[in-house]
Amino acid sequence: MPLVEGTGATFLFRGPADGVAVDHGVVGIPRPLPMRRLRGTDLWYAPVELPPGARIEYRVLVTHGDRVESVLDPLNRRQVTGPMSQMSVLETKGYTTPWWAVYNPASVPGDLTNLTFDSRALRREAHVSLYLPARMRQDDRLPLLVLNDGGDFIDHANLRVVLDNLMDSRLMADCVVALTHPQDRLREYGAGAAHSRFLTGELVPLLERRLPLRGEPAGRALAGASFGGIAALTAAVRAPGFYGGVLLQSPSLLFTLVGRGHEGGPVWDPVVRFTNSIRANPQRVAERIFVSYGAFEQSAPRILAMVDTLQHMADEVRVVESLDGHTWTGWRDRMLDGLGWLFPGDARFVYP
Amino acid sequence: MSLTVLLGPVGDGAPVASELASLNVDGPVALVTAGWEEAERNDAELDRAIGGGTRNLGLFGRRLDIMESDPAYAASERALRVLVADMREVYLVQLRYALRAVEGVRQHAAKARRLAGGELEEAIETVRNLDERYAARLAEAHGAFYTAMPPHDRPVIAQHRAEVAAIIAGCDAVAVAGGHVGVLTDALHLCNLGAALRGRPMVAWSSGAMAVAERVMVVDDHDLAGRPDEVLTRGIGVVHGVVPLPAARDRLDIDARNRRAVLARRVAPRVCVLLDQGDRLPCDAAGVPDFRLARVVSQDGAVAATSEAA
Repeated sequence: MPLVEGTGATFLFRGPADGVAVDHGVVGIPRPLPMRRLRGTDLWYAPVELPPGARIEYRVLVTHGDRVESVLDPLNRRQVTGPMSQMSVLETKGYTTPWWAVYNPASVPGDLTNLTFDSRALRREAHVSLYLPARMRQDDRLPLLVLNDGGDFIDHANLRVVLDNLMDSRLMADCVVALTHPQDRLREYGAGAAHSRFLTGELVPLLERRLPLRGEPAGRALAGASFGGIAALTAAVRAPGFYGGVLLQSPSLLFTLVGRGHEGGPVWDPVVRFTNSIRANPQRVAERIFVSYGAFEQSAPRILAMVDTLQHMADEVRVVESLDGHTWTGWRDRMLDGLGWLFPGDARFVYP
Repeated sequence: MSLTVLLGPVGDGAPVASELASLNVDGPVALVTAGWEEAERNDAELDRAIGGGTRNLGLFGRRLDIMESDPAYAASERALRVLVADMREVYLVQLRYALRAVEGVRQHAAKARRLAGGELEEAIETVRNLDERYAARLAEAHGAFYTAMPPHDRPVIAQHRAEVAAIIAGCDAVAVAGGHVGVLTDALHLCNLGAALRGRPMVAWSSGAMAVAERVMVVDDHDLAGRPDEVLTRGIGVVHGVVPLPAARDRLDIDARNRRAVLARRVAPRVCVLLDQGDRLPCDAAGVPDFRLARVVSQDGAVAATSEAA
């Protein structure tokens, strides 16, 4: 259980062990962070300095002999889920969950429906979830947002509640959100041409035929986090001018400066080739690119190094930092910044 | 003598009652709550605050009915909206860069420790021209639309207009509430309130105050998307020479005096008036405001009574 005081926090663990450490993803703090035992007790502790408003996810590593067990912090009830695991959460003073990320019964919910069709590009049946805003009418001309990793955003970033609240309060425009679900995520999202063809040549035209959408660049945006961000940017690069906006959250923009070696495995090779190519020859692809990243994630310097390139790829680029890591909650917390900028709502026209 | 009073946000509606009393209104009051959109009829609290017996004109509902009953008009109006949305996108791009130029000129002069004077005025003139051209294009687009689809020749619209005019004729005053200023203004135009309200005692607050002016100017220093202050649409023009800025405490950055100065000079000869809770701007029977006790934004960005700001 972390004790939070001022700019510091102390991780605590109580129990028999040969060693205890905190497993986390914060750059600047030893990984894992060893905990020390208070002499004569079974109480373990590790102090850290963190800025106000910070949020980190962690697990506790408990060593018994040769065996290391990764457990949730038994003394901390704050937990989040991810696609692969659960994590304990430490929030320092000043961090608050945005009000629009919390279920509000007064917000009129949109509909979530499923769409399935045979994708020639993906050579499989494609499953897409469609978020349709509550106020949608057949004579609308709504913008379309395509968000990769849609299922994970719904399950781990409370996306449905976020969209309901942001649209109900008009902080973002009413829009249709198409949520893609990868099958072989790293291959499909890893800068490949097939997924781009799926988005631009199949999914978007299909939706624009069936739904009351604007059907023009200013009314189309792509979004994704991590590898999903790569898939979004790849599709935008392969169809310059087709999408008006691109939202990238902690995009996995791995590149090489010297030689071809990189720290990723073979699955990263296409990503490195893609990122190197846009760095070498950045072309304008969209009107706006929004980038958010976690200050504590390892890839933060790489993402910041890409901003100059991205500025050549859009008329406007906005970069927002979270005091968080490479996390779904961190991405959730930046949704208003990104979506409210790409698809601004009517809140400014409403006076009490 | 005042016939119209513009107010800032009114909370539970109590200030509306006292303003109506000051206008010597003791008969029924016609309510406009179209800015509340789907919640248009949730007016019980306001009705109680005003003393009961109000008659809601139901302009939002009438608009929906017109769009449903007259598909040709609805389709044409939809095309107008698309055209206006496209024009607005270009206008906002132009504005963004023109306002950057204003700030650039001001900063350049500040670094050189001299007054920008004429150069700054030229930069602001560019912004003013953009506003005027956009307003003219809006008027042109609406003019073409009304020529092609004369509302008075559309039976459903004519009927609603007649009903609204009859209700207003049976009331002693009109109260125009806030809400979505774009939706409210559209509803006022569609039901021809500009003509129906002239010469009648009226209290309008928040976006209601914006909509009854000649031009609706949206100002928001905290806009998430960084959109510049913009001319949104034409109001119904019952009051003249003023740009009402409701909820100014929330919308304007208190420290951004330079932005306010640009705004004041940009809209001149119209006058920017801040309308927070408790503020009021009385206007005479011809719709001419009495600025003496109003919080006016002066040309140097200060907020003062008119006599100080001149």
